[in-house]
Amino acid sequence: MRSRRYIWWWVLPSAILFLGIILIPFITALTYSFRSLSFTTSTATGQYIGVENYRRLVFDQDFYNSFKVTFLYMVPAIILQGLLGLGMALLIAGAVRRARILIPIMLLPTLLTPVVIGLIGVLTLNPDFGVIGQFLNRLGLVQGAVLGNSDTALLAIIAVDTYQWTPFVAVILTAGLLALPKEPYEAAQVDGANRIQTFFRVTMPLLWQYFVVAILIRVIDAFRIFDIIWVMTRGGPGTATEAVAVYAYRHTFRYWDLGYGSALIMVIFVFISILVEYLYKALQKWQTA
Amino acid sequence: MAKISVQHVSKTYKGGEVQALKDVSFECEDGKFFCLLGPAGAGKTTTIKLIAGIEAIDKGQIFMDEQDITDLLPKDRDVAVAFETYALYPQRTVRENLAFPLRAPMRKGGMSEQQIQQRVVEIAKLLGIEELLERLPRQLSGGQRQRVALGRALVRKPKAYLLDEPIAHLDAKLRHRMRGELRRIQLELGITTIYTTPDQLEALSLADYMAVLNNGVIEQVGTPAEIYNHPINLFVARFVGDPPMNTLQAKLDGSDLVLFGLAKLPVSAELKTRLANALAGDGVVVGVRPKDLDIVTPDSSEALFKGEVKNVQVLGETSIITVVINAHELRAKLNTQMAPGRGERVGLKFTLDDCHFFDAHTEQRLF
Repeated sequence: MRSRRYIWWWVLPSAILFLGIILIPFITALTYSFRSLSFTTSTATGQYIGVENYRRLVFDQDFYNSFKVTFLYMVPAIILQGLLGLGMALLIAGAVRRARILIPIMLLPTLLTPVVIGLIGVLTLNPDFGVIGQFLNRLGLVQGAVLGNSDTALLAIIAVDTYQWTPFVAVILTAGLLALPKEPYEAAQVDGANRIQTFFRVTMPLLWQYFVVAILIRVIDAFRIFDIIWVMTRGGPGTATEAVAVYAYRHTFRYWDLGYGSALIMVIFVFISILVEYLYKALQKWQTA
Repeated sequence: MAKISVQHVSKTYKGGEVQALKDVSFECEDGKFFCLLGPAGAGKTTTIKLIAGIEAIDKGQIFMDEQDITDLLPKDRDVAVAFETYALYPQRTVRENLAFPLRAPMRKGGMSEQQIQQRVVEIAKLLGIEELLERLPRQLSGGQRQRVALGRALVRKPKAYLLDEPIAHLDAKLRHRMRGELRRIQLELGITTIYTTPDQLEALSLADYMAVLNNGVIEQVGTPAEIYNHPINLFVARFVGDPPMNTLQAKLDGSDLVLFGLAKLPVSAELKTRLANALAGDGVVVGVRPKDLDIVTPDSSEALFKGEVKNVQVLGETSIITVVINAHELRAKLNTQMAPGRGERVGLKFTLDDCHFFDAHTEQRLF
């Protein structure tokens, strides 16, 4: 068939994009991770060193710390975003049609670049002239700078991240709620179910697949969190907010240790893949439980 | 158990653009089986939803016994609905779906968990789905889902069952069996049942009383026999009965009634006066059921029409033959042994006693 040959022309643009921005960099990083390559050390010129980078990583306490930080941020942030997003979605879906104009407005924080959101966070949390920083100090909840305190810096990042991403979750769930079939609700009405039963027996099970999508996207995204942290704390104070992506960035582009940085990225990549796969299955199972 | 009375009910959708029901009234006596028969889009499901209280009524009232339930919430009406679209709870097993109506808080306390389980199994057995109890709706075929939906309605003993095409998606054999089962259950429990179907045979065979619905308007209410034997207008005449009634345009010529401008049928003076009004207008439509048509040899003096057999449809004991007379087609239902072959020339006859007369303009029955 003649059309067979043309197929490749259609595939070509996305194939080039895929090769150029995903596959080639990925393979490059993979090969770097087995080499000693640093722009600041004259002896590290890209020679092959086997799994040395990975061996080093296993004994790197800061690396483990960065995983811990990532989870300390990710788990509460996503739970918070899930709950608040659900609440928002229920409000919007329940509102009259005219109130739907709120959706794009609500989405604004999500549309802003994380750097801007981070800056908003830094400014509002400033203890001297930031609205929220001042407020927290006057209430006596915080002494001095929120971001300068290793106990509160991560909380601040969770709060800012939630401010940015809750609307995103809400929009997915709103779309889900508006697309739900109405017949099970009619059946529940006739069966005499109350609102709570209807919510848990009809709404939640039907909405669950949308929930899974929102959560998975957020998990993948949250695991790579970088911009907000870099703008707000640069991983500090100390290493209190140094998530894995920040840690990898520091090694790669601050210390210019490309070999070690690449090894870190590979580990993160494998970890996310396993996490998402596992999480997806777990969430699926939960749905039917 | 209750008498259900629907009075002058109207319903529009999309802000009045679509008139779903127009001044619909009918009554279902306590403990009776009432069928709403009509083609797709006639307003059958809307009627069910209004009686169940799922949708609000625009105009009119609904009574249950003497109580006005027009503004009651669905859960306070004590009805059970089998939805045409199943409306099963998707993430619950069949068992949980069946048990749910018994567990709803307002009906709680009546039954222990053990009694609930017992009742669920009982209903599942009745519907032949006891093997499917642990499955999820998405693991079931359409027919199986429909049986679960029906089960969820039958599991309770409410004041009334509202069944919206509850067996439409079952295969023919099972549908036949379920029809018998449904009627048996209903007679046994004596629960008032309103049942919709597009299948006239189902309505005729199940109902104590039935209504024919068309475009949101009730065409006729009566017993199946009344509706079959005395269809009130051409729509009912053509919709009820299979194959549909033959309808023939007729004019008067002297003392003869001329059918299709071809056949002459002598009529009595009495009949002539009864038809006079309609004949003065657009004429009369004569309806004859296929079963009342008989085959004779084409050159027989009895033959009203002569034509060629275009098609023979064998249904087993009986056959339906389609005869073409000029541009017109007539269907006759015959004993298969008597049926002619395709392409044969035959004569057709019928008697005036078997005819239904309709006004060609108003399409209403004359007598």
